[in-house]
Amino acid sequence: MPVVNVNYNDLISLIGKDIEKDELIEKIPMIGVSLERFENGEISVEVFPNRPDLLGVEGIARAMKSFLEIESGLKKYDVSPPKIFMNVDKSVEKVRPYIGGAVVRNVEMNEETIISLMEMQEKLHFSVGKNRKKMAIGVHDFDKVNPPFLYKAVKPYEIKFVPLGWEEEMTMEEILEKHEKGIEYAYLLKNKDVYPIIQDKNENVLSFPPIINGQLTALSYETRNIFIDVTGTDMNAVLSALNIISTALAERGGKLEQVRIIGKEEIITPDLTPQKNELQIDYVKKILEIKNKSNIIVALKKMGHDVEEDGNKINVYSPAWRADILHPIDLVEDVAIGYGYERFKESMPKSVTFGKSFSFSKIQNTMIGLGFNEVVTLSLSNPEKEFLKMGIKGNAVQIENPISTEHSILKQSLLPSLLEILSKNRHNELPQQIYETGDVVLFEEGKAKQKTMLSGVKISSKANFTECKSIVEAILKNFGFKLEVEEKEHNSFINGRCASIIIDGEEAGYFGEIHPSVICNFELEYPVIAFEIDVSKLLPSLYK
Amino acid sequence: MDVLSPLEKKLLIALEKNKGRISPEKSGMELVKTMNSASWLQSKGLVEVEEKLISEYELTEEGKKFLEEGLPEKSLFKDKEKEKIGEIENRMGKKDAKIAIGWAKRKGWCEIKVENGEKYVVITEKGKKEIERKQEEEKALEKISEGDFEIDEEILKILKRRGAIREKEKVKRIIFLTEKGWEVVKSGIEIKEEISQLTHEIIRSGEWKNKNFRRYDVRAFSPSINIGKPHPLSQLMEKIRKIFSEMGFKEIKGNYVESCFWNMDALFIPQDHPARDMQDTFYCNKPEKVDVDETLIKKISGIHENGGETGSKGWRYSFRMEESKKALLRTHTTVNTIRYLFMNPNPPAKVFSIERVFRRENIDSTHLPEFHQIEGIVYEKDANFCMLKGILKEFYNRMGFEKIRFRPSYFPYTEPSLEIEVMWMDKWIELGGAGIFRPEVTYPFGVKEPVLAWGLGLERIAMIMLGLNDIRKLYFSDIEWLRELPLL
Repeated sequence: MPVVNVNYNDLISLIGKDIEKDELIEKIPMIGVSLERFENGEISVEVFPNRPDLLGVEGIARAMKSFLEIESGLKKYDVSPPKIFMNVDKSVEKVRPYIGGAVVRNVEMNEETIISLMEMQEKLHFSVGKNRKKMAIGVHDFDKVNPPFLYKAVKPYEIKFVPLGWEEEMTMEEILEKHEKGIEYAYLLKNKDVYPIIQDKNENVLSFPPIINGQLTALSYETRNIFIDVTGTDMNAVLSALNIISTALAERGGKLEQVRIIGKEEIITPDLTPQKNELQIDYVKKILEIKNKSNIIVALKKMGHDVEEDGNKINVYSPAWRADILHPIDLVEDVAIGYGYERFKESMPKSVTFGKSFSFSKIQNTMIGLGFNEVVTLSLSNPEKEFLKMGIKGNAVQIENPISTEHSILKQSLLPSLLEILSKNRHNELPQQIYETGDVVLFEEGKAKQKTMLSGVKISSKANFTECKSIVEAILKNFGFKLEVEEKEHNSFINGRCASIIIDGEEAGYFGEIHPSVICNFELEYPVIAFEIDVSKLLPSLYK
Repeated sequence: MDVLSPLEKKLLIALEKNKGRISPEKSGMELVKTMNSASWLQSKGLVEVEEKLISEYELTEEGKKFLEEGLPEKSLFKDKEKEKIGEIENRMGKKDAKIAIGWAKRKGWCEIKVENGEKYVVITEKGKKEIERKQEEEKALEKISEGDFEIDEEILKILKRRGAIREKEKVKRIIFLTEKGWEVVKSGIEIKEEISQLTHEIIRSGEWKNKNFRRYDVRAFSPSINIGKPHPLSQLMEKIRKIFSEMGFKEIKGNYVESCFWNMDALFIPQDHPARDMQDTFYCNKPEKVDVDETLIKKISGIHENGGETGSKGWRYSFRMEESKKALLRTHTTVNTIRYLFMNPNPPAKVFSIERVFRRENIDSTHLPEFHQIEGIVYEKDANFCMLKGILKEFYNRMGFEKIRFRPSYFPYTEPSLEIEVMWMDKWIELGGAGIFRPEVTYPFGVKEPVLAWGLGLERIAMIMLGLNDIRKLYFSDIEWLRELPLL
């Protein structure tokens, strides 16, 4: 999740009221972000993906101002009607169909504004834009170009311009090959035969979305008026990002002006008309047990909504930049946050249910009685450990994208991991006897089949088959079974020193003396005995 | 003083014979036993052990040669009173000859005379006498070889200069009686036979009736025993199982290999959610797909696209049904509870699970690609947010955490969502997430009442309880560490 770094002084000046650091530390997490650090006047907060409007200091200040009731309720911005327009050519449909735009006038460009704008742009690209795929933003010095603008798609070699940060003209094709950003994002235009471009009336290039802007419209400290373009493949993401970034600039004193977008249909952006939702009071009461209607209303206002009482329901007017309100339940959460999580009185469920658990204490007591130490090992393993070193062949669930070759399959037996633990404990005193109760996953007939196993190994200078049989017999006795065995061939064991454990006429496991080649494969130097038993056979009652 | 062991008594007697001072080597007992007895006696205030740094010497190769063959200046005069230097050099070697002549001259055993241009070594009267006698140096070398270092300083200096000996520093111990020790010794010490190890024979013969039992030093070292122990994670799991079953919860189990459908789609996690990336989730090659009922997929795809009949707008994108059957390693055990609700859509239900989940993390001190989640739900008529807080608080209180707080959080499948923090050593520590399942999650399965749900970390609790700062220690067991660990 993205982390936003906020300058404390900048935040305080945007909120417009002095707030002590301690109070801020206490309150910030309560609006629904996670406070990571507060060091040297810089606050780092982690923003959850449902609230991209908090991805910049301006948005956090707006939310805090409302939450602290300095200025609660729906924040309204003066928006001038469109004076300029943007034509959308239908050629963009196949490559990047959607665009929105906004003009922000009289922006005071200082260091804070530029840093914040760049940070927010980056965070929005990452979260809302899914790395510029769904949406990408371009911010321009409006006075360097002349509207109307045109958004169209052209052949990769057709147009040349100077991309941001460069001095010579390049074709779009060349940009994808040579420019740092071009190389980074070229995959977004892979297999496209036309590339999107935004030009002004004199064919000056504003942007080659979603790759790079033109050098011409680069921002500077002299910039006063800004033009924002947002393009993408997802209309909701485009409009929501445009709302977030344009209102952030308005928070810094900029004056918003709409843009007429003329394509297949005509739209006017940014559209800051509040979203209206109906919230049933009983629904809120049911989920949150807040008895008093006025508490619900205060809480909603603290979260930046306007409300209108309407009988048994409340009409809630929510900011246009809140893209996370899918269902009334999302407003219920805002009520809870606005009310304060700490204020809800804990209570207990009322239904009567009876508890039951898969307790392994019987196994634990048995193994500890035998002097075994329990271990826990990872389920992720690799074919070398599971099969090659064990001298056997087999099938296992295989991971498509493992973190390393060491963790590429799921283990289908507990034994290899136990032997590995012994091998890591060569420096420790012998004898060593360890066991594990855990799940293994077999891969049979194209399906994964999970089983719980009990497995143990013992390494000592005198370990032998007879001792192993005595151990297995003792275990079975604790579960009310008499040991019944059959000879078994298993390549991990010495031939003639391995046996199946039979419970109710079925094989429930096996045990024996590990083959010296396996012992050597695990770099061990003393005799090892081992057993593995299917827990569902040992404790059938657990699975009923 | 019957608290004295026979060994202690023996040492005291030896001390008395030696006027109250003895070096441990000369006690007439084994050195280890002497030192043990001395330290016991010291703790009783009967003796003191004085430690001094002293110089000892040993013979070098040169020194050993001197001892065996005599000093070189002695062998200078082979039956002749006068010999050419050249001849001596031929006989002894140039280097040895030079040394021998040098020392003989210094001691006044010889003179150098020149006749007809040739240098001769001529023995003096003193020399004639001295070469027949054992020299001081030789006596000293003999003493040193026997470990006696009471030797005149001048001689030691000469031997050192001649490279015949080398010096070593050594701690010399002297055991001596204290005043209290003298009193005990003077009052008389009697050595009586005592029983140390009680045996079958001693019990049966009745021999024990006439003998004393030796008193043991109860503080003495005893070897450690390695006993079997449960692993701390499973102790913790058993504890949690007990708590939840006492609170009326039933345990459920699920599978590691799951479909995208149950792990993600059914929980309203949109298909472009970053948690679904190959970066974060393990997908399987074998099996590539898991069977899921097509009608269910169709139903859920509608929920994602437009909210279906849940009153939600949905995520508003076009759902790719072919993704749903993709096999993955479950990323959370919430998949267990949603499957349970699908099978049991009627309230009430309280279920929990403590099982492994998988996330695509590289292994380091705080991350593992697999770990355990403590999952649970409460599903009943009019379940609400206050109950969610109540049940979580009760659980953590029973786990031993007294201070708990809740703050807003976000998960795609719960609303409201919260983060749980507990106070541990004066710090707030995040232990897990919780919330109420969104209607988009529950309605499609006919679950109409609120479902309170949580997923908490197990390893994190284990780490803070054990004071561990490396999670790997839990899974890559060092047997010695496990042997030493107290039970939780």
